[in-house]
Amino acid sequence: MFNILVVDDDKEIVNAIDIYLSKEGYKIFKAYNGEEALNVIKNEEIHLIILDIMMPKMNGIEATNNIRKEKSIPIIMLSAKSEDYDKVLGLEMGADDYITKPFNLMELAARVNSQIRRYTKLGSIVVKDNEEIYETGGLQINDATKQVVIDGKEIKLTPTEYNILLFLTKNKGKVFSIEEIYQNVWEGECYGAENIIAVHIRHIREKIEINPKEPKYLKVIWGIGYKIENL
Amino acid sequence: MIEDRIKKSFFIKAIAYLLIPLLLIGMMVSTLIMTYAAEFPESRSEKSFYETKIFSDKYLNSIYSIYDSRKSITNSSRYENIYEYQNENDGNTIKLDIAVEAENRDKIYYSSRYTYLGIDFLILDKENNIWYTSVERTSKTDTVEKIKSILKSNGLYWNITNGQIETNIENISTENILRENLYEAMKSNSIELYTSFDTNNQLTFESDFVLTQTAYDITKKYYDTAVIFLPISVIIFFICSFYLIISTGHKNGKEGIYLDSFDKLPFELLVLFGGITLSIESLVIAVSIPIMRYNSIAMGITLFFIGLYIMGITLIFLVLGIIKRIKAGQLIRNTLIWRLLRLTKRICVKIVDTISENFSLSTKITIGLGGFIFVSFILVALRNIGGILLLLVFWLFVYIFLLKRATGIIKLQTALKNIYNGNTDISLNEKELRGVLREMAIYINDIAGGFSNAIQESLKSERLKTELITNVSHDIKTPLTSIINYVALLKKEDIKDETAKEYINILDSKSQRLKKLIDDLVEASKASSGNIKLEKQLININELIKQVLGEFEDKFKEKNLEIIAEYLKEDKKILADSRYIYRVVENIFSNVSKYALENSRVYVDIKQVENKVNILVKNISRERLNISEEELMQRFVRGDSSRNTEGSGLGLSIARSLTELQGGKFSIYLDGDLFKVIIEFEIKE
Repeated sequence: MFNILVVDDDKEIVNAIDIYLSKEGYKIFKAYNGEEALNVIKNEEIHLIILDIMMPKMNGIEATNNIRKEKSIPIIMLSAKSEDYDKVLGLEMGADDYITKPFNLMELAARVNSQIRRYTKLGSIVVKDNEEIYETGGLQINDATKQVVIDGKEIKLTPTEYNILLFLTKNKGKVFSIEEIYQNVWEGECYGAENIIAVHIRHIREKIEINPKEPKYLKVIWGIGYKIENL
Repeated sequence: MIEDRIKKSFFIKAIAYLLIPLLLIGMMVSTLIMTYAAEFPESRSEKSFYETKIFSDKYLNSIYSIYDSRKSITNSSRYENIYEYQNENDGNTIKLDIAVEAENRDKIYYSSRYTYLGIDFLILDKENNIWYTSVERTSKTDTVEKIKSILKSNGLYWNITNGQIETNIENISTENILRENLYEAMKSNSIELYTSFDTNNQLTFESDFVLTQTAYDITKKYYDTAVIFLPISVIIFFICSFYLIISTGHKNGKEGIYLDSFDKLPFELLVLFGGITLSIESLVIAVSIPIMRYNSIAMGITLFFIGLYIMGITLIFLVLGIIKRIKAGQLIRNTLIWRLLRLTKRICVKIVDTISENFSLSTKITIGLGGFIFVSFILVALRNIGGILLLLVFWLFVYIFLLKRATGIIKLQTALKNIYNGNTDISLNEKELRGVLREMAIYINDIAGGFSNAIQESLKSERLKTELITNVSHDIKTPLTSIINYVALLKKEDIKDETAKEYINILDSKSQRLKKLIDDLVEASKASSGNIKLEKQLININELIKQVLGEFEDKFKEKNLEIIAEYLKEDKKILADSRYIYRVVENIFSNVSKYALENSRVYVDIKQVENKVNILVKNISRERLNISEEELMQRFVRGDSSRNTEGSGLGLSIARSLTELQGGKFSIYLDGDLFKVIIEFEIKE
């Protein structure tokens, strides 16, 4: 049983999250501003915080600052602003994830599950000797067992998808064009398969990312190529 | 600042000021002393003046002078030929004609004209047997013997009789007499001369010896002092001068160069003042010389040096005044001539302005050209070199005048070109121009100001609009979150009623569409107002299209759309922001997936046209397009007017704004049901 603190000045939003996540099996604590949130954290053992940015008394950024002074529990930020700048600021202040309003409860639940798994190291790959693990953030690939795990959850990929993901993860942080990926993964000539790679990449994203349109791991640099983020 | 305080100290300045003329005089005197000492090394010995060769040479010179001028002495009618003396017995004055007395007495002619020689003399004119003497005639000197004894008693004497020299002065023996004629005269016994120098008598300025003796005495006494004093005084003099040059014009409590009322006088008046003052002082110096001669040497010398000192002070005052003016940049400006020229110029300008206000431009040109021809003609008609020179000067002036006007016109042209190009941030200096050009400059400034204001206003209102939309959408998002969330919760409830389930589905899709609308609205407003920060980089067009087509593959398959893509043979790059170029292409393909006729083909062609790359997307519209291209790109307009399908109707508008923001061209062509989009970008390598 994990304890989740939901902080938002809009009571209906807090209630909706409460109902949805309770059904997922979490215990929910509620707070309606930053100060209340800090009180709850002091008194209860909290495993994850869902925190709205725009709140009276103490806003989400300040609250995150205060929480981070003592604890490293995962924080998912909520905000009505979808500007890149706000996301960067939120993540820099120490938030682990970010979701913009209006959000989908299913997506929120997925993010909560993923953060909890990472935080508690549930389902991580057990590494044996002479086995090599490639990883970035919550993504782990065990090339010996062809296992792919995202935040402790195993993912099923087709062999081609696996090869592409492995190649990119091995070279994390580096950008590769379609042609480069083709040459490296197929080890042969690139013929007539204009957007096969692009389609594969989209499929991988749909499998490993919570929101494929805003990927966390497999980033698309439009007009240049693809890369696995070095987290 | 200590430096500043020294600069502004009145006390130091006064010292330097008063010291400089003293030093100058000192330097002058020292130099004279040293020069004299160099020329006459005897002056540095222990000898008294009378023992020196300087004295004996001088004495000898006097003898030469007497001998040389003996003819003029005898011939001069100004010599008294009346023998006149006071009778010793009764004290009456007796006047005798020399001729009458000739037989009984020696004939003695007296003359006081030769006192400047510094020595007294008695010389015999053997032909006429007349004695001439410089000794003042009294009863004691009425006979030659008496005069001879007086001369001898004077102290130093030099006599020549019967070819023999008799003297008590060193250095003047026979051998020294090198002058041929005198030597001859000596030998032939044709000369009888008695001379003497009165060592007891107070020197008068009249004597030729006085200067020499004074110089000798001063040199002897002060040479050592002068040798030390000169270099020191030169150094101090330069320090003082340098200090005064630097510090002049700086005054306590004043910033920069302070000019007092004296410095504000026109330069000519300063020169006049200086001239008068210096003349008066020269007069004082000049007067001191006769005072030296006739009254008292000490008084004369005092007066001479006081005059010199005051003159020095005046000169420093004038020089410093000039330096101050130069420092303040007022030397030339603050002259009567300059003021007069300026006044003349102003009057001329005023006259020209008054004239030009009352005539049209064409009249002015006519008058101007007429005047030009007339003046030129007159100057040529003068038929001399002066006329031609004047003509050239006149033409030069006309040329400069025309050139100035041309510069003005070019300025106006540049300003207008700027406005035409959209740069309204200009301001012409109206004062630099005259007449019609000035008027034009005023109008241009007004127009530019108006444009600039209008642009500012429209930018401001565009920004306010974007802010409003952003804020409103933010406010809408919070309640929308609750709607979406509770719809999601409802869907999880176990609802048996089919109708209720259908209603929940409608709520779900409409709330999702509302979300999409709000996001698009914010993006469209930002894109059209340019409120977006671009991070441009080189984008490979082939790669971009492949990537986006990969993203849309499933959606196209759903509608059974066949994509026929034609890529560039070689990869070409454009300069754009990766995220926003994606949004452009995404919007176009999203449109295709929404509005293209099912089971049809979609053509994507990438072509290079000169140095540009065109991305063409062609498809057949499902609905009839009874709308123009322009209207289609307006916000909230869609191919189908029902507004019931998915999408916000902002896609094309956003795509166009983003393309233009990144420097590309976005166009739409409609031909029946054929829908064609072309994006054009410049190729960068």
